[in-house]
Amino acid sequence: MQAALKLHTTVQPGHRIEVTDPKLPEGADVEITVTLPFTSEQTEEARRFRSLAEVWHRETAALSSVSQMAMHPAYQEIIGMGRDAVPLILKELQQTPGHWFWALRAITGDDPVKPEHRGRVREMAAAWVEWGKERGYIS
Amino acid sequence: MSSAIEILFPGLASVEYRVTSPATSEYNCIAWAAEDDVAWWWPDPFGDYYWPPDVPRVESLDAFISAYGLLGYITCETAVLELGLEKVVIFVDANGVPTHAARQLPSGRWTSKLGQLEDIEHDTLDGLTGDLYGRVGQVLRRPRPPRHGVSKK
Repeated sequence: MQAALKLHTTVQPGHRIEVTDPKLPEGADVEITVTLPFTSEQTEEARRFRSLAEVWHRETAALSSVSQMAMHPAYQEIIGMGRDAVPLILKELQQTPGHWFWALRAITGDDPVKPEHRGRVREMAAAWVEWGKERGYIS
Repeated sequence: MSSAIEILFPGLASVEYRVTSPATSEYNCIAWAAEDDVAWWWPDPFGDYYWPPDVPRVESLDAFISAYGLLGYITCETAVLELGLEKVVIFVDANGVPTHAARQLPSGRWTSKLGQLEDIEHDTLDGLTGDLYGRVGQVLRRPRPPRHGVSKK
């Protein structure tokens, strides 16, 4: 059945959605898509990470050099966040495999990537996500 | 054409180019020039990324020439299209550190992967010369291998 109303919205924790439309008949089908913004519990660290990550993505997207990407001030600031950044980075990796491996290695001193997966970004991301689950950083 | 790409590479605004792939973080220009679209090539100090075995893991033009040397490339003087030859160019920054690589197609045009952005086909190398990628630091050539069937590459 065709929905009488389609609504796509982003909500913050604590918000509630209320649909009032006098034109909607009683019992009408309403399709609501809710997007929860990526902010681990909306902490200050999460907001800071999101802001830095956006700058980094924007300013390094055309680079091939991993060193240049990692030396970007925003990336370095994320590394400087220490362990607080780890779950945020891992959630980012869960959503979109990207070049967070230098940061994860620098912060944690660990390296769960198999030698045969070096350079294979999707497999590298999966290895780190699994590592994070095993240690309770993410679920 | 993508204005976002032209903002990063103003030189492309005045040359013919076209986007030939979606953006992806899974391979980079160095891999793409080597006809690899599944791995990100870079001689990073930690060894996180793919780099050909036995090639020095240093960000130098010599190391990049050695990496392509394993694929049969040797240095040459000109990027002009030559019958029977496949060419790769390595861009370097002001310090001579490699930044980018592009591969010549049989048509004489070039194919480049732009970091984590799209692949493009471009008429000239001038379009990518500038602040971001620097200039062409070395041209390489090898006998053009035979192609079979239709390939993205």
